[in-house]
This record gives sequence, C-alpha cells and structure tokens, in this order.
Amino acid sequence: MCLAVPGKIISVVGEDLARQARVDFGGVLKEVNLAYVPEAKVGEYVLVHVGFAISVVDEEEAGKVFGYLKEMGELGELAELSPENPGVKQ
Amino acid sequence: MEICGGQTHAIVKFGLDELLPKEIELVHGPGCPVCVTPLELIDKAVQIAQRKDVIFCSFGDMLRVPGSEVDLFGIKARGGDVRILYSPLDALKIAKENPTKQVVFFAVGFETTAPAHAMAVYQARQQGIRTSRAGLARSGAARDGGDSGLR
Repeated sequence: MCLAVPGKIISVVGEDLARQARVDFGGVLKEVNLAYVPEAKVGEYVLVHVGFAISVVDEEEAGKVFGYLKEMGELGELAELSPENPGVKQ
Repeated sequence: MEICGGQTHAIVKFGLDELLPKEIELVHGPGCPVCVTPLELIDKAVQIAQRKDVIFCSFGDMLRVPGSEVDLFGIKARGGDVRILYSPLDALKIAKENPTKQVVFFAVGFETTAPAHAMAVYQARQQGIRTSRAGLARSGAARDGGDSGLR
C-alpha cells in the first residue's frame, strides 16, 4: 500500500486506457496498466503502484530505488502473486 | 517519528514512548491508508467477507488490520473466500470467472490509489461487468462509506 516499485517495460499490448505492459521487476514479471503514462515505451522504466504505472523514471533512479527496496526486504509480495493467478499466492 | 500506524499501535500499546529518555521527543507520523481505516469499516468488511455468495478481494496489508473481533485473515482461515490482489483490475478477472458470485473489492487508498480504483470501475462498465454501488471505502479525503462492489 505504501510503496511504488520501479520496473522495466518488456512488452506492450493494447491501446489507450487498456494499454498493458509486461514489466520486469528484477526478474519477476507482472502485468501493469499504462493508462496513466501514455508516453511510456518498451525499454523504459516506470514506477508501479497497485498494478498501475504512475510515472516514468530514469534507469539510474530506478536502480537505486529497487536496491533500497530489496535491502529493506519489501519485494517479497511481488513474487507471491502472478498475473496468471491473480489473488492466488504462488 | 514513526511512519506506520502499526508502529504507532505497538508503541502506545506497550508504552514504549514512556520509556524514552526525556531528551527524545517522539512525533507520530502520517501513516498510510491502511492504518487510518476506521474500525467500523474493517468490521463491515469482515461481515461482507463471511457471506457465502461473496468473493472478497483486498490488498494484502488490509488483511492484517484488526476489527472489533477478528481480521480478514481470520475470516479466510475460517473458510471465507478472501483473496489478496495485486491490482483492482484483478477483481474484474475474478468477476468474469465467477458470474454467480458477488465480487467485492476493498478499495482503500489515498490520492495515488484512487485512479486505480476508478479504472477498475470504468473497465468493468466497458466490459459489461455489472457493478453495484461504486461508493469507495477510502480513507482520507472522501469518505462515503460502502465498498466497490463488482457483480
């Protein structure tokens, strides 16, 4: 709830408000809605909160934030829920 | 300053603030939507989650917030269909896969999360998923009670 996590856009499908991306969070892939960052492209980094990209960030900043979150042990929940099985802990 | 309501709760419950030397001033921080959710909303969520015709969906951290008697994890342990979601849009998938159930999403959050909840309601209507009340259980600014119910 408190956190937004940076990830790299690997692929994009759809258009407008239904535009979705596969985003790589340090090896964990999740589906992310891009409706609120229409300018975001494959290869760019976005800050993601509850399944939505809320801003585009540069790679260096993304790396720093991801490192801090990993250090704090705040990335566990990302790996537990997969896009194929929403609501089901793996 | 502590920044989480769970920390505030522990500090006050165990009197940690009274153990600090007088040179240290403890200031209570802002907290997040989870910890400012009123007890009455948790109790309402617990009641709804116990219904046999309901699939109750929520962000994971809400499941640990205590109600008057039990939390949502407790209802899940008793057999309630309580599911932890990554995104409000996941509730739409569950609603499509379970047309005979009422899918309720506990839409807690401040301004950063509100657009995500709004998109779930918007896409539900675009996809023809019937929504009932879209009054959101949101902490902070607008509190009109109720839950974002998707049917």
